[in-house]
Amino acid sequence: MVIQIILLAGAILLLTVFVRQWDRVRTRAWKRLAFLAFVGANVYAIVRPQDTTWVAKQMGVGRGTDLILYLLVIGVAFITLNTYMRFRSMEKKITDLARTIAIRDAQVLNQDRISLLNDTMRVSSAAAQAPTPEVEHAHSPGS
Amino acid sequence: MHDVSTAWIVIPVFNEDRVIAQVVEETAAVFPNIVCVDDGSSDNTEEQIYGSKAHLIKHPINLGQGAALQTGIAYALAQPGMKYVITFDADGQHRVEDAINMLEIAAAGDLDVVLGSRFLNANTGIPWIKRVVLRTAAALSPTSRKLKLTDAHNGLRVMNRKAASMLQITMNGMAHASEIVAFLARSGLRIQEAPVTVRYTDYSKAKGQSLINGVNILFDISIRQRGM
Repeated sequence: MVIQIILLAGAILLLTVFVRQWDRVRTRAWKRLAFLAFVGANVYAIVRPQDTTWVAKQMGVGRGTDLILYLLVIGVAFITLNTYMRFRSMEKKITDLARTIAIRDAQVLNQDRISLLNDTMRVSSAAAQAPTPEVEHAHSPGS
Repeated sequence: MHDVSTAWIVIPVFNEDRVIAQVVEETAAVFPNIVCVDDGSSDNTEEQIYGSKAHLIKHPINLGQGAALQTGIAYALAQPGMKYVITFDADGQHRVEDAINMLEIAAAGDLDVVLGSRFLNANTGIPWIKRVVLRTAAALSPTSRKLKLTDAHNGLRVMNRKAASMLQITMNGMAHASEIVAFLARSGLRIQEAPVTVRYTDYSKAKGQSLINGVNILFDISIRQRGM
């Protein structure tokens, strides 16, 4: 049937195009055009419902309602994928932001903390815990 | 022995207040430079790290183990004199002896990366179900096969400065282990596995990832490999 080929091709196209070229300007433009076409088709189907059945018949689908259902399935798949991608890219931005903050704070925090710790360690370590004999002390840390 | 003061231990920590202080103490007996990345824990992990000898980095929100590793590595790279990064799990499953051994191997063989493997030793005490799953994961992954790895999901790794600065972990969650292997396969770095023993305590077993989480990992990886 024609409809099966069209629907399958649509699904494959969506997967490849939107996963491969996600967020490129051109892809975004096509997404918007697709949205406009979607709204246009919507209006048309509301005004002349019998026409959707005619289109469906041409494609080998029984009723216009079924055709719209099939198209919706592809639409939902696309939206799911699109949302997933968007979340991924947002997550990346948040991660970069949080990492920058965390490292900046840590540098300030640890500068004081570690030098203090090292001082107390030097006093106690001489007596108490002798580190593993092979450990070299050529470079002392935190210099 | 290789100079341990040029090595930085990176420990991603999430809700491990029962064991983290002890893990840091054991590690600090040998390695002077330790950085713990508290990944937005809700328990007393932060206080425990604060009271230890480790450098403390605090993620303002929970981001996942992969993100915590990347943060710790970025911090270590900024430290003067740093030559090696050693990634280490917070739950006490890794042994400090293994880390020293791997550092030796990396330094002696002039290798870029040394990965810990549970399966190079004959007797390891790994629960059999875990053994089957991990071996299957290593065998199925094309990148693991390319590198001839026996254990793709071991948290104990030694990387030199070059490898550490090339690594960009984008998988915040648990898929980062596969991501690291995929990166290594592409990188052309000199890589070797070294035998390690994993201590399967009741605590680390309870903390370890459930096998069903493998489904999530596979999904994340497959989406990413399609060109993200």
